[in-house]
Amino acid sequence: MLEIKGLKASVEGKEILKGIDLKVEAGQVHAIMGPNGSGKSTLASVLAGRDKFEVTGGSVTFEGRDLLAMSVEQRACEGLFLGFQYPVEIPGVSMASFMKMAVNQKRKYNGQEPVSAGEFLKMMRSKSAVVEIDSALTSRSVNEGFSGGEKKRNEIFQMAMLEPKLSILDETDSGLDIDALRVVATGVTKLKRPDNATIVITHYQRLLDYIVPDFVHVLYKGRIIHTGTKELALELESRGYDWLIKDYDNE
Amino acid sequence: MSKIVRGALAAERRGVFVGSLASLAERYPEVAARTGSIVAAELAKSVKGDKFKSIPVFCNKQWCECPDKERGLAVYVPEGVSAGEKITIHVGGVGTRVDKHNCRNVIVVEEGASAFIEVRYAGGLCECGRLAEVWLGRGASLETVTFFEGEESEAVIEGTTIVRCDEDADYRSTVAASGVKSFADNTKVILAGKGARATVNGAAVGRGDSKIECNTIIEHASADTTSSQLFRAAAGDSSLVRFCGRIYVAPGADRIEAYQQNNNVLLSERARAVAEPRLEIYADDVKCSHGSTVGQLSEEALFYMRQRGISEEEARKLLVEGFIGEVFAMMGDAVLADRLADRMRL
Amino acid sequence: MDEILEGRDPEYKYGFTSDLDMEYFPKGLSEETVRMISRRKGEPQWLLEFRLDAFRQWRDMAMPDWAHLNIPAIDFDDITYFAAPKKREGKSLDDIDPELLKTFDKLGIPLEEQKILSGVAVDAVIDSVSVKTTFRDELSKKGIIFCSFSEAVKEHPELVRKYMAKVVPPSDNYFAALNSAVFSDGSFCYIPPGVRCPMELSTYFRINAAGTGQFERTLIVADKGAYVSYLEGCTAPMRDENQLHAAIVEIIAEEDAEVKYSTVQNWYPGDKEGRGGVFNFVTKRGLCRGDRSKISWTQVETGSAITWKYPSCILKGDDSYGEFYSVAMTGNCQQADTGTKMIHIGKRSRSRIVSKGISAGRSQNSYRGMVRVMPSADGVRNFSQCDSLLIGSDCGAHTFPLIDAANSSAVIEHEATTSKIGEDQLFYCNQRGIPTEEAVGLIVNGYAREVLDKLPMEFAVEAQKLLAITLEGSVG
Repeated sequence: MLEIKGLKASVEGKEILKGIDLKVEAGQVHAIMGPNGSGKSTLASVLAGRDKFEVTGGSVTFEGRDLLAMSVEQRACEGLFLGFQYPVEIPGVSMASFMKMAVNQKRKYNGQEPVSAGEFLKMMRSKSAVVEIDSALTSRSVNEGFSGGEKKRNEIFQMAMLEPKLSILDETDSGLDIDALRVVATGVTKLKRPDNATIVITHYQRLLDYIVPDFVHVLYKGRIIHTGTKELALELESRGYDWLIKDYDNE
Repeated sequence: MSKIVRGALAAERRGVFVGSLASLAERYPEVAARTGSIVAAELAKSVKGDKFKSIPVFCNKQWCECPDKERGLAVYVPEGVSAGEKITIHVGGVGTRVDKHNCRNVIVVEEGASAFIEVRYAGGLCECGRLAEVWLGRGASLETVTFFEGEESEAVIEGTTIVRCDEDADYRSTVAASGVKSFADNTKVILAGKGARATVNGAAVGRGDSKIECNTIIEHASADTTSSQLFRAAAGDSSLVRFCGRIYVAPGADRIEAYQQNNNVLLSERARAVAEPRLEIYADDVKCSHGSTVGQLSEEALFYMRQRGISEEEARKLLVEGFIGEVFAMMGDAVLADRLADRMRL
Repeated sequence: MDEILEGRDPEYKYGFTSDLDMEYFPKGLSEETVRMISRRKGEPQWLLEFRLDAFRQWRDMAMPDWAHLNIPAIDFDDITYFAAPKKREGKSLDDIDPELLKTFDKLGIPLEEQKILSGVAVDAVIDSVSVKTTFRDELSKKGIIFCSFSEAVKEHPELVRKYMAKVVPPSDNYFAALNSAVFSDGSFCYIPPGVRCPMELSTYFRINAAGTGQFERTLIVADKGAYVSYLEGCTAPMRDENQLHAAIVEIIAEEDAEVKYSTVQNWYPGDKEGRGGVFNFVTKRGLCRGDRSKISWTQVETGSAITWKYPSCILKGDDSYGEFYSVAMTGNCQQADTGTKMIHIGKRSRSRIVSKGISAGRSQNSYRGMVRVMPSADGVRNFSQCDSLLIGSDCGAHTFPLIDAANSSAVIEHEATTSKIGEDQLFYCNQRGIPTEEAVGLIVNGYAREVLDKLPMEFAVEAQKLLAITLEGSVG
């Protein structure tokens, strides 16, 4: 589904990603872990097409097509979803009209007719149940005045609405208490299908108790320095990153 | 030439008078005698030219050439009457082409009465000047919404509204400025009695080479009065949006709260925004503030929306709609608010 | 000479006069007056012509009336345009009238270099002339020119001609034209490329003579990569009549240069009934000519009966930066209309405005500002914060900002608040045993802190004291 080869990216002349290789197949869950400043969020942003970052090398193919050549919205319509670490507030734009536009743009992209108002409402209702989000939130402006937990739930709600092929969840667990974490993680698990894939970027192992990864990658100084299975996450939890980093730093 | 169409009959059944200024003079001579005095007083002040103790009136040629009373239109809501359904004042006939048009409106809402009035500038207008004098008696309540209803046109519109609020009166107004070559809206509210409140809002979307100007003066003439203003403008193409808002607190007018917020976004290289917020305070027990910003649509929000699959163009439109829509969200008529938001779409 | 109002206003401690041996020109303003000033100063022909041209322009101009000020009619023929302590021969300190030295000592500005503890070089100007500039030799070792304007005209005519009136031309406004015609002295400062001025430079202005206007001119040039911090102080005796002060300050900052200009303005404000006081009409403007240049204005305005003053920045260089920090405090019958203009021409130029107005007594205090973004100026940022504090119910506080943005990449934020001094804050202080008057002083100082912090140390202490003095008696 996704194949990243030697991806390099920099911001304001400073290289952050120094050659990333990663392959994600349908039905898989990948976790990307690593200490602060290792480039995890940058990777997510680059995949989503944020123009603040300049891709200086490598390639990314998504479903066999050149992802880097696509615009931000094209990537989204192709089925790439980014769950933001800090979802932005958009005053004056209601969740309903925002989501309706997003859903219809995707349908238009796929040559489908726009959804009717009734259908859309039904969709909103059923999907909001997945993440146990208060349907009153959907009548409010996008993320405005939402608590940290509500914002993260809202991200998963949108993921449910848009049914992406590949979801990249950037630190979705940060700032969540244990109940919110459980709701968000259960939501993600419920949305898991054989034909979609998830990349979970996280700092802590605890999220991986709920979302069980097939692979765990450790990102450090812009490179994936170690790959393992879910046991690696547990090991990182107990031993920290130092043993891995030390090896790498000594290289 | 302004006429009342919708809502008038229902309102009349409730005892509301709608008709020409001349017929107001016949039916309610004492009301007719009273009206006009606010305008006259304002004019006298500016002639005296005491630049500190009075606020000069807006520059509007109609102040000098008082139009024919026959052509003017009056709405009179007697004591305690609730006008119920919305009353619509059409300025300029629908489908008619008026080259030069001066109209005078008098709106009197007596003690404890209430009304909702919609002022529509008709599509066929070329040039239009409107002057409205509004009286709110003790505890009276009035909401007005003013907009241009035609397609994009070369019309030049200037409207001036002078409002006097007695004790505990509540005045709320919203102006939606777009669609014409030149749109100037001037509002002056005199909060003359304790407890009077004014909410004066406006939204503007500038397209082409249009010029939109909103001028406000809120005069806190009495103690214990409050006012709030929100003006938002999005300037596209080579348009100019201008806001000049004054808050004036008279000597001795204590326990005042007056807030003003003006936000502008520039959508194109050649667009221009001018903001002139002013505070003139002659009393000390006040809480006044104004804020003014000029900026762009949030890059963060644009990226967020595009990540959800919305094209950049659509995302921009939606953001402008949200930005402007917050002004309409404060209106009392949700259906009209939606319609205006729709009209103001880029 | 006028009666000196001994004892009438004990709060104004600079209100004394000095009995100096003086030389005066007759009152009145004509082309002949202009010629006399120029002749007396032995000026070159080009400067005389500059003055005459300015005078002719002034004659055709009208006094500006857009400010929120009640300005009584000024009889320009009832003013002496030149007054100077008589010169003795020689140049050393011993040759300066001892009475003059005493005057500056009394003002806290000792002119003997060994007496000065802090590293501050002073140009002392009394009435129409500069009497002494300290530390000149030491500065000149670094190539820094710091002298009176008159000397600069004689010794560095090429620099004066190159820079004078380039930021504030005589045609700029009524008072700029007047100053350009009759300016008597002032300070000149030039920092050569790459030099960081090792000490604070300062000018101390003193009006002493009665019936005399003061028209000084300051020109500061910071060449490429240079840095200077400049201080200005001013006082005048207490007199029953009004005195006119119309000055020009021009600053030019070349590439990567930085100029900090701080003022503590304490001209005599008039008495409690509004009698007397200085009319202060000043045009101050800086030109950030070079890329990455920076000009910072800090002002504490407590004096003058009328203040009309807008220290501004023309941000011409790309990535240039302009700053305006102001505390304007008015009491009794004072009137102040002050603020700034930030004109953004250069790309990515930035500016910041922080204005704190404090009105007490029966005073009127206005902030007037303009932020203009020209179509060429991409990526401009401005932030303005204008707060007004009201003490007492007979004063006024006004805010008149103007924002004009003609470039779609501009980000401008303006915030303003007006409120009275917090009753709960006062109560809190009272409850802790602090009397109301002291509490007000405390609160006002806290309110002005952001600006006071921008001042050099000694100045900040002085400014704090001045605020307290202006406040005295305003709390009922």
